Amino acid sequence: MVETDASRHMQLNRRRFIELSGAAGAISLAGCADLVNNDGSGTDGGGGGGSGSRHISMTNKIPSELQWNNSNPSTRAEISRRAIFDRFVAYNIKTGEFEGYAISDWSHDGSSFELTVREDLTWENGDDVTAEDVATQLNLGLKTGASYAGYTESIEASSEKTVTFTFNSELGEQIPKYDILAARYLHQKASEFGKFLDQIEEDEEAGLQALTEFAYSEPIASGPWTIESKDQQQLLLTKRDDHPDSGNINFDEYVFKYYEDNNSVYQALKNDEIDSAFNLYASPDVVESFPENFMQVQTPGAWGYGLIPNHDHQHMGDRAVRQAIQYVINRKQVVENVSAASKSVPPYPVGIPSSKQEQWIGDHTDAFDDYGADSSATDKATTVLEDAGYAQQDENWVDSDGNVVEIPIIEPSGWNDWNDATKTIVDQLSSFGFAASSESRDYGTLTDTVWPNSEFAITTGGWLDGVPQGIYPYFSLHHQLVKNSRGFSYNYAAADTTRGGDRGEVTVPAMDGSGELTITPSDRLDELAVASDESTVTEITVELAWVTNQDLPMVPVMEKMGQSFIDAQGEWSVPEEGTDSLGIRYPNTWLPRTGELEYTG
Amino acid sequence: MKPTETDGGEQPSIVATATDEDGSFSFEYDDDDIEITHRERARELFDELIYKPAIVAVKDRRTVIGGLIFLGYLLMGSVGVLFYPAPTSNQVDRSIAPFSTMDAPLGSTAIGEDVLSMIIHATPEMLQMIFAGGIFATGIATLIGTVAGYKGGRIDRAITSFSDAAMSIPGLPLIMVLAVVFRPSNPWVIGVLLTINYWAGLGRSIRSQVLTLREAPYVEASRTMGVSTWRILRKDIIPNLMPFILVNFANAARYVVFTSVGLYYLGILPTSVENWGLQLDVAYKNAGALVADGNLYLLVFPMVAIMGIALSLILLAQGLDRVFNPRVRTRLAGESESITDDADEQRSTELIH
Repeated sequence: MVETDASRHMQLNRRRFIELSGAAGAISLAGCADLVNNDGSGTDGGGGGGSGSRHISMTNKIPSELQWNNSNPSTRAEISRRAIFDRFVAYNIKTGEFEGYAISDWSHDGSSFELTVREDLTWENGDDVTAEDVATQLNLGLKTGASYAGYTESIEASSEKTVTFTFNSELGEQIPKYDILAARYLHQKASEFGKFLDQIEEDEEAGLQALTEFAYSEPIASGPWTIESKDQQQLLLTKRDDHPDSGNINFDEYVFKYYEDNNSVYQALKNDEIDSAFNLYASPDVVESFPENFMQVQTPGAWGYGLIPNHDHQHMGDRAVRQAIQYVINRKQVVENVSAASKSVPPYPVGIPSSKQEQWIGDHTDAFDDYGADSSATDKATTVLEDAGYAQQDENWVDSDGNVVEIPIIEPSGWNDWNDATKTIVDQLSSFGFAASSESRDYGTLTDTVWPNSEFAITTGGWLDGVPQGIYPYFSLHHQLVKNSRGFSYNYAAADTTRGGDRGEVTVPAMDGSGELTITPSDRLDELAVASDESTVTEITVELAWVTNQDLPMVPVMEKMGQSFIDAQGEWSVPEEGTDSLGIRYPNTWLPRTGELEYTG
Repeated sequence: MKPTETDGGEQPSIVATATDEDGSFSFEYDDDDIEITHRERARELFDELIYKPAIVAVKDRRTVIGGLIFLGYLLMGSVGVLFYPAPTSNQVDRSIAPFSTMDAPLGSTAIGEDVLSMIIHATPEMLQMIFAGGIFATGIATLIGTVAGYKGGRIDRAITSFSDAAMSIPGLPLIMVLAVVFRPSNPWVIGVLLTINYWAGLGRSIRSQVLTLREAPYVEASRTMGVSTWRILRKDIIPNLMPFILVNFANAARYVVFTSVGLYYLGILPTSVENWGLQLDVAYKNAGALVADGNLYLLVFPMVAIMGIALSLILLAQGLDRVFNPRVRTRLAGESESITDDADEQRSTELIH
């Protein structure tokens, strides 16, 4: 299955709705009957990619069941909503730039943040997009526990086109930019969603329930395409002529064909049945088999495979064991086993994405432990375990009471790349003498029960926050130390109560090697959020990174590149590989808006 | 064994001495005369259990081929796993093509596991599943079928209703649900689970066989003599059903192979053990073997392993029928000249599915 497409708009943690990212759904029983190739028919008359001025892409959810209420995780559309709705801003991962779009401008002033809505933007029913619409959507986020809820006091439409955030206290500029602007889409029109806000005011529980259960199956588009029809096989969108950017789009129809698993998408690409595919993990062998006209666009995910220990567990809760696990894992071998082309090795296991580690902790790398990025540091693992009272008995590691150290890793079934990684890690840990094993579970079971109820000793999970927030250390550190975005109740002492902790203290050896450092990560993160001068930001970031490096609240293993595929020759013209504009996520829905993806057939 | 058989050592060798010491006729016999030495008994057992079946078996190519293939799997699952290293990631280079190096004769996966090693080390669990499933399904079916068929009346109706009910439950979905709920990892348990309602149909057909057998003269004779029901079942009925049961044992085994492979492929059964179905799953999903042509070998070899064991079971099922058919066996073993009908050699018990 496609790796989850982390939607950061809604974190319905209050209501136990932890990120049911639909793209990542595991194989359902019902779907099993037809795994080989589910869709030979379809409306594409010609054999080759696309017929007429129509762009054909894919979805891995049954189109007729889709709904576009982002607050309702059930059968939520993942890719088509990026075509139907406009994004707030275009965040370019490559350049780090924010380019205004539905929100054309913004300004930050300590404890307030102002968004300006694009002037000529309309909804598909002809209504202007107003500040009221944007404020309604953001206020719903406030009610449902979106990430900005922690520091936002109020959100108001201060004029026809201006939305004003008032924060609890002063805040640095980066945090609201990444948190509020970067990954958001304009999708909840006030006329449709305002009633939920009223309802929540009256009765919070009932209102939230109504909102999260509302199936928005006939959405009012803010983007340049609108839904024409949907059935079991495909979702057909047609171009809206009244969208300000529709002049850039030279094709009439956008089709999302249904493919139930990665393999059927591989087949479709191989047979040139579709023009683009998004967020699709494909190993180098598979990529090789695609026709040459497909260009692979890779964007850093600021997200990737790691292990999440349950800190209440007898052994996983022991820092020595976590460190030993991190030492024994040969991250480079894992990455090469899975796919060296689309995964990378984090140089240091810390709560900062690989690409930003040099920038933030580059001056302190002597102190930080890399735990052996390209080898199994078994000597160090042995030392750290023996110092903590563990011993090897009959080739197995046992604790001081003689209990064997078992490492049963629970993973989502059907996540190809993750399963390969787990297998490799189990072998690495086993050969060191840990009783390691793996068990796969349906993804829905994991998100519904296993993770929120702490029913694991150790599980696989994302050790970063995901693009775009994850790029900025505040968010990735927050994810590891205080409140992870996936709802892992990992019982880490410093974590939020919703994650099994009590926002407590952590004590680690001091970075300069003398004495100890005791801090409360959640407090330090609050300080980081409001810090405006660079030296304070750096100081706190390094300190918290040091805590993650020493205490390992999560065990980082690899980082992923998002893979998208676009027909770059033949009937479509796209920017050349390496062009900056390819750094904006979901190129198949973004590039047409700027006229960079054109039909040439 | 069937009373029509001419062999057997159950009857004491009554020596009717024509004259006694006093010259008068007597049916008495010396104790010494009826004593069968251990050696004779062992020889008889050998004849009965090994020699005669072997003679029949080797006369039939199907049994020989099926047996040899199955023996191959047995060796693979017992000796093979001891000598051939277990699969682990990075034991050899990644993605080696098959037949290119002796390190991994059948190639290796993308994470550097030896494909041959994966196939070999999946065998013991598969054999355990086969035996568990086969014994469970045929055991229950035989018990239920014979008791129902022989006793008749209310017991028959009760048992038949029960097995009808079991038969009406859709097997595969039931297994899937149970597999998800119990997450069995022990191959013996999995074997039983897979045949959880396979016995029902088989029990039905055994019952109908028993219905005809119970009217046979020798059964009636036993009944008249007051032999207990259990003994009649054990001595008269079940031995006559043996060919039928064994053929179906092989079929149940084949069913276990296919079902387990299917469920492992679908990811329903926990991935804690090696299995050919898992190999197929990984080849399809992780290596994209159907898309990336170069990886097709990752699908082909486990498939050959599955086909091989299924083929051996089919051949054995057909061959075993002849081994257990007393008439064929007696004739081939050279002890009776009464049967000369060649056509008999061609006959085989129908396979029940």
